[in-house]
Amino acid sequence: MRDETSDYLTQSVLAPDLGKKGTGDMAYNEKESHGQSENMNDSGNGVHETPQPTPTAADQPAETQPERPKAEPSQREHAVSPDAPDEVKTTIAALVEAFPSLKPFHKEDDWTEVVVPAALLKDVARFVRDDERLKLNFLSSLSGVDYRDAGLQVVYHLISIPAGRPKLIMKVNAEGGRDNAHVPSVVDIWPTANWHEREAWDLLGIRFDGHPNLKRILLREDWIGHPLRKDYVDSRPPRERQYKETWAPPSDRGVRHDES
Amino acid sequence: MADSEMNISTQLEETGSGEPRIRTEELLINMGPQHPSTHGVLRVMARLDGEKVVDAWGDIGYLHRCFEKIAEKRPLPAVIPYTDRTDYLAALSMELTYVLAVEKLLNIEVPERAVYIRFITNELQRIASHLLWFGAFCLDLGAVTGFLYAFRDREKILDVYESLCGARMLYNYFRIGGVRNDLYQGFRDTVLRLMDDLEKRLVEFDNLITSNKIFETRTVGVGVLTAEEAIAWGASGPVLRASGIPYDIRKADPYLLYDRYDFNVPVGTNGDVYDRYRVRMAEIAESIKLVRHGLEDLPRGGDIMADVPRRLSPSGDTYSRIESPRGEVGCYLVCDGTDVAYRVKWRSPCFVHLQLLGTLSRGSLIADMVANIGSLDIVMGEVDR
Amino acid sequence: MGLIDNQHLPGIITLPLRRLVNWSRKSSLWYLLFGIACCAIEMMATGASRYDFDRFGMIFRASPRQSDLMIVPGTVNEKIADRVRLLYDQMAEPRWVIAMGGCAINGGPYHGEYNIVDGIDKVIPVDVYVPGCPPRPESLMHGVLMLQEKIAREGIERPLVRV
Ligand code: SF4
Repeated sequence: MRDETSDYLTQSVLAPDLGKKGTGDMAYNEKESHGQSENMNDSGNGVHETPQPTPTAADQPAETQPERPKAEPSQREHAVSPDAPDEVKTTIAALVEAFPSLKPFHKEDDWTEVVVPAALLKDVARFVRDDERLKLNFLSSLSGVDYRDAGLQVVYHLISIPAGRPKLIMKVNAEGGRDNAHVPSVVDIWPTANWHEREAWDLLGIRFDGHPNLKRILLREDWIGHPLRKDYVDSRPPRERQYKETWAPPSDRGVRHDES
Repeated sequence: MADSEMNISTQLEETGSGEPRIRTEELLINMGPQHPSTHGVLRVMARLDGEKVVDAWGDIGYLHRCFEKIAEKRPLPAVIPYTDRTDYLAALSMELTYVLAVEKLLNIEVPERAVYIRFITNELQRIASHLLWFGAFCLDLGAVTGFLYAFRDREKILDVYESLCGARMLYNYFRIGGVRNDLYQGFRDTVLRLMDDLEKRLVEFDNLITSNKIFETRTVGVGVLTAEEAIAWGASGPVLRASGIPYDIRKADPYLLYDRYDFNVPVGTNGDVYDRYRVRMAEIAESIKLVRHGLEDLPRGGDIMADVPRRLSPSGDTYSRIESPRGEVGCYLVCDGTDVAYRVKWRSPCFVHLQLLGTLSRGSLIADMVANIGSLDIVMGEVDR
Repeated sequence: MGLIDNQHLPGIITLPLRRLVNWSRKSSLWYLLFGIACCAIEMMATGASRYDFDRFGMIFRASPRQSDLMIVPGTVNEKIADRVRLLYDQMAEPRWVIAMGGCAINGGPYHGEYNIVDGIDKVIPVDVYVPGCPPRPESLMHGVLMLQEKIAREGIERPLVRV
C-alpha cells in the first residue's frame, strides 16, 4: 500500500512540472497561490520545492483522484476572506508589512500559515516574537517532515501566551538537498526549540545551523541513519536468544530429559 | 551541609602543611536510567559542587518506541492503540488529540452523546492521572502513606474504566467519529458516588500533606520557575500555571464542551514545587465539578458514532492541541489522501518540560532535584514516544 | 518430608536440604524496582494497596545487589538493552527474571520496528513470561506463583528442557 502511496504522493506533491524547475513554476505557483512562490528562489542547489501535500483539485486530473474534501481553500495571495478571525487579519497585515515578500494566508480556524525561506527564518522568527501585535512567545511544536524528492520541511507552530492567539504556522524548506539538509536554528529565540531540533536531527537528519549541541537525543549515539526518513532501512544485526547456563543445550529443543 | 564542608576544606587547606584532606571539587554524577525516583527510564546527569547542583540535564531515549514511524505505517484507526501507549497515565487524552486531528481533516461532526462521553471520561482521566502523580510524588518525598492512599482511590476510577472499556490503563476507546461503545448501566450513579467520595478524600489529602511541616520544608521555594522562563522554555499545563500564567487550552481554545461549563483555572504565584502541587490538587477539584456537570447534561440515548466512511482518505495537514493532565499535547498530522497518515508528529509536554531540569535545579541541593523531577510529572512514554 | 515427634526429639521435620533452601528462596523474592514503560505502572499497582504484593513476601528493592528477581515491565529498545544486561549482571545468584507484557516477551505491539529489541530474552535469560498488554496485576501474581513453583522444583527434579 505504501508504494502506491509514494507514487501518488510524489505525483501530487510535485504536481505538473515542478520537478523540472522551469520558469513555468512561477506560473504554477501563482495559480496555486499558496504563497509558495517565495521559495522558488533556492532551486539553484537542486532542492525541490515543498508545496503542500494537498494539491487543489484544479491541478489534478479529475478521473485519477478520489473525491476528497479539500483541507485548504484555494485563495488569492494575501487575500483574507472577510469572515476570517481578526487575529488572522492582524497577523497577515503585520507580516506583510514587515516582510513584503512573504505570502501569509488563513489556514483554518484561527491559524495563519506562511512559508518562510530558510534565509529569512531568523529575521521573521525574531520579528514575530518581539512585535507588539503578534508576541508569538510560545513555540508549541517544531516538526520535521520528509517529503521524499521534494525535500525536507520544518514546521513551526507558534502561539502567543497568555492570550492564546494569534497563532502562526511557519513552514521552512530545508536547504542543501537530502544529504545535507539544513535550516537555521531558532534556539536563541525560543530556547524550547533546543530538544525539538535535536529530535528533528536525530530522526530526520535535518541540521540546524547554530544549534549549541546538535547531538542525537532519542537514539543511541552510534546509530546509523535517520529512521523517520521515508527511505530508511533498518539494518541492525539480529540478536540471539539468551539462555541460562544451567539449561540444556539447544539440540534437545522440545524434549524432556528422561534417561541420560 | 555544603557550606560546612567548604569551611572544613578551607580550614584544612589553610592550617594543614601538606595535602588538604578534604576538598570539594566538581563532580559529575549520574542518576538512572534505573533509579527509583526518576519515574521510569530517565537518566539525569548532574554536575555537583559538594551538595550543590551546578548544572543538571536529562538524557532521554531509553523508551523510544518509534511511535511516529508506526503511525506512518498503520491505517489511521489502527494508530489509536499506539497513542494510548505514548502517555499511559492519561491514555484517553492522547487518543483524543489524535482523533480530533483526524476528524478535523475529515470534517466529521461527532454526535452530541459521544462528545459528552468523551468529555466525562477525559476529565476522569485527569483525576486519575493527578492522583497517581500525587502518590508518586509523595513517594519521592518519602511519604509512603500518600502513595497508598492515592493508589487506592485511583483504583476506583480504573474500575469505572474497566467496566466501560475492558481495560485498566490502555483503553483504545475513542474512535474516529465517536466512541467505541456506549456507557454501561449505572455509570452515572457509580461515577457520581465516586466523585462524592473523592471530594472527601481531597480534604483528607489536604489535611495529610498540604500544611505538613516536612512537606512544606521540602517544597516551598524549591525549584522556582519564573513566568518568563516558563514561556520561553515552552512549559505548559500545571507547570506553566504554577508560575502564575492563567493559560489553559480548555479556556483559550475550547474543544469538547469546555466552553459550555464554567470552571476555574487554578494559578500559582511563586512557581515552586509547592505551587505545582497546589495547582494539580486544585485541578482535581475542578475536574470533579466538570464531571458532575457533564453527567447532569448527558443526553439520554442518541448515536455514539458519526457516519464515517469505511475507507478514510483525508488529505492536508492540521494541528490539534488539547490540555492533557501534563500540559499541551499536540498532534501535527499530514495526510496524503490515503488511509495511512503521511506524517504524525507528537508534541508532548513532558519532552519539553524535561528541558527545564537545569533551570530548576541549578543552585539547589541535590536532594531537591528529586522533588523537582517529581513536580514536573514526567511520563517517559510520552517523552520518548 | 517426614515428621519425627517423640519424647526425645519433639516436633522435628525432616526434609532434603535443597527443599528447605528452595522454600526459603521462593518465599522472599525481593524484586528490583525497575519500571520501563506502561507495564511498570501495573507493576506499581500490584505493589500498592488493593493488590498488595507484600503478601507473597515480595518487597521492591532499588538496588540490583539486593534483589533476587528482576521483573522487566516494558519495551526494551537498543538504548536500554545494555543497561538491562548491566543490571542483570549486578544481581547476585540465584536470580530470576520475569518478562512482563507483550513488549518484554517479543516486542508486542512494537515488534519489528527500528530501535526495538524484540523481547528481553534476546538480552537476558527469562524464567517466566507473563503475557498481556499490560498484564493485569492478577496475571503478574500468577506469574510470580509460577516462578515460585519453578523455584521449589529447582535442583530436585530434572530441569525441563527449554522449548
Ligand atoms: S506490553 Fe503493552 S502495556 Fe506493556 S510495555 Fe508493552 S505496550 Fe506497554
